[in-house]
Amino acid sequence: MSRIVGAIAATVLTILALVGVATAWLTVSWPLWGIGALLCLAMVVVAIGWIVAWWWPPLAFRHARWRLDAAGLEIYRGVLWRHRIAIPAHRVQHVDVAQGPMQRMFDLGTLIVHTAGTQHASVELSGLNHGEAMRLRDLLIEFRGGNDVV
Amino acid sequence: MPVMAEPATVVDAEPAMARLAEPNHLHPSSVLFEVLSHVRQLILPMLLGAASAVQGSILGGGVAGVIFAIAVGFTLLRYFTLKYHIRDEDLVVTEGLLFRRVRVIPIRRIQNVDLVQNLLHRLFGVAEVVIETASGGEPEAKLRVLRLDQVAVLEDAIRAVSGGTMIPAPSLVGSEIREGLAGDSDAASLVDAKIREGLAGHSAANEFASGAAQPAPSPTPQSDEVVVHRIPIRHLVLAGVASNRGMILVGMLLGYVVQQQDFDERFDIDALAGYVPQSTDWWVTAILIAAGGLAAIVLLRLLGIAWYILRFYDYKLSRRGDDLRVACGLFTRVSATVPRRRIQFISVHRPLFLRWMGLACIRIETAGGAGKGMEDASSTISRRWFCPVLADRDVDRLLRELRADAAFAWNDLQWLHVAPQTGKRLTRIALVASIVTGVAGYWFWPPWGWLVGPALFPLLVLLVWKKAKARRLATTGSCVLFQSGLFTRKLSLAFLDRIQVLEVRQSPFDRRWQMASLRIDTAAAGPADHVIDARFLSQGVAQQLLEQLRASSSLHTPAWQ
Repeated sequence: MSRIVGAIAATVLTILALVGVATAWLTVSWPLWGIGALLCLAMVVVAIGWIVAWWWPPLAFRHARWRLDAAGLEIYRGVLWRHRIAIPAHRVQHVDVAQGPMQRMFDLGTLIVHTAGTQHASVELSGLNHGEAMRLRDLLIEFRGGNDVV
Repeated sequence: MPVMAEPATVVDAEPAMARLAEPNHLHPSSVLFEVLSHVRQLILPMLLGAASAVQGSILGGGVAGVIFAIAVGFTLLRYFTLKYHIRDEDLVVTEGLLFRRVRVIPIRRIQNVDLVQNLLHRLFGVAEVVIETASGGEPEAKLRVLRLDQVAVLEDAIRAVSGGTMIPAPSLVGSEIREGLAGDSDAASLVDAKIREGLAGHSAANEFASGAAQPAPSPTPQSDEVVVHRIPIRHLVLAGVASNRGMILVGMLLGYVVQQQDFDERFDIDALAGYVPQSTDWWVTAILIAAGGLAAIVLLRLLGIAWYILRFYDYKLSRRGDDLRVACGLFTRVSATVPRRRIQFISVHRPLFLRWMGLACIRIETAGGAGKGMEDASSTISRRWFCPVLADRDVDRLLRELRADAAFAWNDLQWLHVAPQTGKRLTRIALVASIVTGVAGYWFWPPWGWLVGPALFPLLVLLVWKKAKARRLATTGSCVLFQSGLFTRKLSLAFLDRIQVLEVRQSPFDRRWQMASLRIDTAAAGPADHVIDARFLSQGVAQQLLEQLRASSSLHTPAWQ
């Protein structure tokens, strides 16, 4: 269940970003009485941020799934707006595996599948184990075969 | 009416190849057309220069002269450095003197070859050739201009190469572009060597692919041209009457007028009102205004007709082997060739007025090519206006020409409609919308403005209901049909072997109503102006459909049978 680590990483990142934003806000604003109000606002925002940061990743994780079978790759994702994306086998143009610095720390990777489509020219699948992403990439490339799409 | 000489005369593939093995120049009159196109771009500065020259300033005239000379110089340079030839199975275009550019376009990758011939081109017996591959953006190569027999040779050579085995090599969509600074000859030869290296690798890949794939039955490349469809002038006139093309001209004019500064000073409403004769009888004024309106409408329709006839006069759709060719135009003749296997998406549009007259239009899409913003004449014809108008009864026949498996028993199709609860959901949306407009109406016209809301409500309900009812989706063994639109009814066909991505999407509202929308993405770039986005489906239906399409479309290998 290493993907939970991804959720934690995301949480840490969100909190850091939020704290940064809040402090920046405080240093920039000048009005006398406004600072108090701004502080309250910032606290509320940060609190919401904390709650969201704490609750969102497990939620997102629970709704994110993928599977690869003979028919191709299928991805489920989204908490409020739910998406189920299917890429039929042979339609894959090329596949990237990307890794940010934070992802590298937790040995995670993002799989980016490119198709010849227009609205879904690339489909991302993040929060995979890096090794798993690489394995998946190899499988997809193998799937793609020698056939041409367009 | 001089008709464009058909470059369809059968030329033996061998001599064609032989002629193209050596580097070829463009036609000498290219210089003229290039200069003309430069002049068109530089017309403003040059006019300014000329104007000041007339006023006696030598400087202005000098500037204009220099600009002109530079344009001519560049064009001459381009003419002498641009060469094209066919090597192995690639079309090679070299250009540039300092920055040399060698563009290698694998012939199998060519999506379509288009020709544009305006009046002047026709006078010289030449044409502009536009070659496109699946890579988006601008065309891969523009050969401006070639003599018609040069065009024929090029086309035959392309057909000879791509007509053999139909299964193309794996990698390398589009073309390779190599740029090198070739100031001295050493560097030039280095670049050349590099290219040869790349080519060797590429053709090896080619061999590998054709070895791995089973040899496909080759469509006879030299078969005769069969005329599939012609558009009678009557249809063009009808389409012109039905279309709002004239409005575009008016819009351009309006935009121009508004853009002029001090609009208010020169063109105030009072002055306009002065043109309306002040009569003591109100009905005389009314009749005059009505007559003016009617005249404007008639003028617009006439403009529409003119546009259609200019564009599509003598429209001819023909098929030669696997290639479809469209040729049309009154002054500027455009001819576009689309290989059948490149068609990604077919869309049949029936705008309200056309529908009443029993007419329709067909749009097709191939992969890549220019987006909406950078369309030029040829791609406009071949995609956006593949068949601008045809009788309803001809639609079936034409669809079958486009794809052999696009034959439908329309009455037996199992149409899927929107979920039953859609009506309720849309009524609620309409209610919210009318309340909002009511509140807004009260805000702007205090005492009775809120009446707008309730008045709007039944209209809105009717509209959204009808719209929802117009949406439907059906599947056959080889294709998905999707129809939507209340006024302009659009019916699109996505073939299972062309489906790129399937998606079921559910917004929070969708989930509340247990609905979902199914989207089907193809490689079509958008000019057909229709996206398969089946909204308001029942959740279960959408999921099941995705499952089914996913399984069946992965079975269809994309290679053209």
